[in-house]
Amino acid sequence: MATPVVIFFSYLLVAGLLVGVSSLILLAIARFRPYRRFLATLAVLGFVAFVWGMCALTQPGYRLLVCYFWLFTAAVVGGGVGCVTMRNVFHAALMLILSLLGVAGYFILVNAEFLAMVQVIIYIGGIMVLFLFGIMVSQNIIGTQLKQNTPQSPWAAICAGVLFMVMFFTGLFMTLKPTLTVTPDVLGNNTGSVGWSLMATYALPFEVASVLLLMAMLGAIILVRKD
Amino acid sequence: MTRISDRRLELRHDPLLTEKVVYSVGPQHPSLPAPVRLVVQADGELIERVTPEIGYLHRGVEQLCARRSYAQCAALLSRCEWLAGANADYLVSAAVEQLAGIEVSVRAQWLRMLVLELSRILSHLFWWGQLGLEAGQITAVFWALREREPGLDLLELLSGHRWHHGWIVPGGVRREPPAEFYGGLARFSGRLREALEHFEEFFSDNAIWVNRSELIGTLNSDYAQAHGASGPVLRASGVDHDLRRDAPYLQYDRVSFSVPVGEYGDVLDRYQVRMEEMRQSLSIIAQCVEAIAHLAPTTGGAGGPARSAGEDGGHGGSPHQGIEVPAGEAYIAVEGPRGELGLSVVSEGGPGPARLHLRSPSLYHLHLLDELCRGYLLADLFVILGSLDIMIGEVDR
Amino acid sequence: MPQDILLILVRGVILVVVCLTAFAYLTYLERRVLSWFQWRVGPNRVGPWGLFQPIADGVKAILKQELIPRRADKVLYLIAPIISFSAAFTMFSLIPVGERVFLTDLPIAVLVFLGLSSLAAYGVILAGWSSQNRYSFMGALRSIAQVISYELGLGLALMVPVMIVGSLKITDIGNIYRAETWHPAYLFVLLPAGVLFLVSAMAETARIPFDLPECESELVTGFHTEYSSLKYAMFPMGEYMGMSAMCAIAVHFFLGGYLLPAIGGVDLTNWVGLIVGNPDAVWGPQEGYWTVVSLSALGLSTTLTFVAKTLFLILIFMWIRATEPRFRYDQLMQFGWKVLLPAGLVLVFLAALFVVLMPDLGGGAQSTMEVSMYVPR
Repeated sequence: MATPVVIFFSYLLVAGLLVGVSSLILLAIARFRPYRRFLATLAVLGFVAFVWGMCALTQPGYRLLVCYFWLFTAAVVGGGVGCVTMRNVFHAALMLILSLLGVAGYFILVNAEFLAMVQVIIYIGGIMVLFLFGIMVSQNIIGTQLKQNTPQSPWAAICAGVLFMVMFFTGLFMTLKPTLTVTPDVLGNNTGSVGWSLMATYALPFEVASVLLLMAMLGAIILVRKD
Repeated sequence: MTRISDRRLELRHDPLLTEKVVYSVGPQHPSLPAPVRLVVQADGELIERVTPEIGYLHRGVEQLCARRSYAQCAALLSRCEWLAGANADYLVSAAVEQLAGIEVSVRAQWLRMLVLELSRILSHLFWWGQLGLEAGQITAVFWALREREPGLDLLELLSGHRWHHGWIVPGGVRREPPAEFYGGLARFSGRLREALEHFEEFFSDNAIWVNRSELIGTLNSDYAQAHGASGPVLRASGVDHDLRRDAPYLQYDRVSFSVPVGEYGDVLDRYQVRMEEMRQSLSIIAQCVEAIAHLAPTTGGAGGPARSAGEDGGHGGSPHQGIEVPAGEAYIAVEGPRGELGLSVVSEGGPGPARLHLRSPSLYHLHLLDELCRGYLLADLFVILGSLDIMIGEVDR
Repeated sequence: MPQDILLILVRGVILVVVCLTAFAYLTYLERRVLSWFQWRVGPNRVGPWGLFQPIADGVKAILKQELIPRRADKVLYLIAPIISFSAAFTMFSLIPVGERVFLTDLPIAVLVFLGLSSLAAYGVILAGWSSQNRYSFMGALRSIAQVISYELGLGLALMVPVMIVGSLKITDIGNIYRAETWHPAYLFVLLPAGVLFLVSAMAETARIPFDLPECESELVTGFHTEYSSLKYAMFPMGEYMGMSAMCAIAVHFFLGGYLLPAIGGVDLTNWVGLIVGNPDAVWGPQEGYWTVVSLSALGLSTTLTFVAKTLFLILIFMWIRATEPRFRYDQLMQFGWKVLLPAGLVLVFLAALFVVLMPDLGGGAQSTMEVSMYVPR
């Protein structure tokens, strides 16, 4: 069904993807920093073109969903890339927040509102605030900011690449052979189901995990105590 | 209510190098009454050192006074001690009287006392409101000013000016208080007596305030004495010293009043000492009024001020520009609202002083800040500052 | 889909207009109320009784010169007021204001509310960090610590009614106060939880006596010291909206929501509902017009009740602001962690006991009002 429209949007999609990814790669290379603003604009334009193509090629009922999905993907990927490439630690932490927000968006897309809000409350409202707190009190208050400078970045890149491949192929096979059946109950009020699972079905593992966390917390407190 | 120990925190000397923060409080800051700069070195919020930098309000008043007549000196000095300007008037007049050997009538002395005590109350009221602002109690200042207003009206009735009166002049007071003055004074006192009870509800009965003031900014008596603290600050540290009782001037030896003394020298003690002082001042005022009622006004105004030909000439300047004061030196001290306010005058004869120096309690108290704030938190700095009742106009002259 | 988007837009516009007006007149109200406490008159010059004062203030705020510190982190500096402003406004969109009068009625509204209130902290953090000013920075640090500590008390207080009702939906929780589901025993846990919530909310929205992030006498104005013009005005907007949203949530959770009071065993809401909300029962079957009228009457009366209750709580906040001095920072943290948190835990424990021991009481109010009038498909 290769109508001209479909062909056009396919080209748009692929071109947008290419432009966006290549400008992002160039952005990450230090030599191209002077053209940062231009490259960032290109990346955004490429992303818009890509999403537009994607939306145009999906069924009308799902277009909004697809749009949101790629928006969240942009947040997750962009936030992740920004987190590891930003020189300023405070900015890097903010990028991590963006990434976590994107993940919360994914949860909403798959009807897991409870998980999404827990993600926001605990990760963004709690843990990341503590991150920022730590960054703020450990750098000079005003003036030069703490820079991240990691000599192990090539090794980290290799490890991350391997992990990504593993996850990518796992995900690929999982989607090719769907084993999870989604029941209407899960799609409905799933907050209650989560509660039942945690507190009744899997009460023991849940409690064990919480005891483990408690131990870790106590250990951290004992480690930093002076006397 | 017993207070067990100091709540001063230990300064940390970390093996880990932590950076000190330097806050520059002022010269423009919402909680400073007038420009002064406090350089606060802190470990996070824990204060390690406070260095006051003064001079932002320096007007060269002492130097100016050396070229002016005594009346003009009084006007200038009352701009240094603007919350209780009558003190400056009294200091200059008393110095002139001592140098020139002028006797002041008993009635005028009672009148002077009355006004001095009234200005103490007004000054303390202002302090109370300011303390409220420092502590985040935003209503207090309006209540304080509301009670203060009739007092200022009384002074205006007396002298024509609300802050800088020039009513106490060498030889006596400028003129007899108008008849309605005493009625107004009685109303003011009665109202204030009631208001003070309400004021206590704001602070003394408030758990948050007691928590913020109890054992905060403690000053021990030795340190206070060694560093020239005086007035309520000294008394709050447990030193029972009041010039009005220990070196009586005017008719203070003929009135009965108690001198409130604190125990721990903390913010709460300084607060309570000042609150009690207001009540004592009210009682002194009542005694003054009674004494004045029994003394007939002498002829030639209240107490016959030493006026000379200069007054009638009327070309500019003040009515007693022509006072010829013999050469000599004098030191006059009063128990001002903020502490011992002293004036040292060197006269080489002529209508004005050759050199004049004001001993201002606020200058000494400002430099107590370092000792008072060390080991407390940044938030305490402002409450401590408020409890010292520092007047920058007095610090920078 | 276009209708949906249009509906969303219309709702957004309604929300912003209503909230901005409410904000403007809340500042007016606060200034007048504070003046009454302080023996002064307050704004009374612009328009009748000074009623146009908020408009004049707004014009002034917009026309002021805009100053951005040279060393500020510009992007974050610009984003910060937007975050605190929009988080507070979004909070408001969660709250039903009357019987069948709401923008959204999410099944997880409580969680969204908590999430937004923690997101609002980012406005403060970014503002304090990006201004490159020690006072701002200190304000931001204090704010972080305060928000983290008091969010616990806030969340635990909200959990008490949530546990009793067994739903995270705000209307469900409000329905517990209906005469048919109410039980006086609820008061044992709901009353202390309400107090806990109000105290935590006061701290969360940084009002006196918990206004440490911006306490004027110490930190100039704290985290927004370096802001000017409209960007400055957006912080108070966020603060007031946050305060009102907290009060509105408190009304829903602890003061019977938009329901009219039940006097002498007669539930006024039902009564109004019976007369005008259900005219069929009184005047026989009616069609079209009457249904609309009765529904609007019910909606209007409940909305007014809700607004009155919320205003009552806001006035309490103002009263406290006029009469209390400020906590010290470490005392505030101690109060949060050593008093409010244990109290909250005890209350949650009690509520759990409650639910277990009296299962026939708990959850009785669930989903009685499944009205999809404004819910998008």
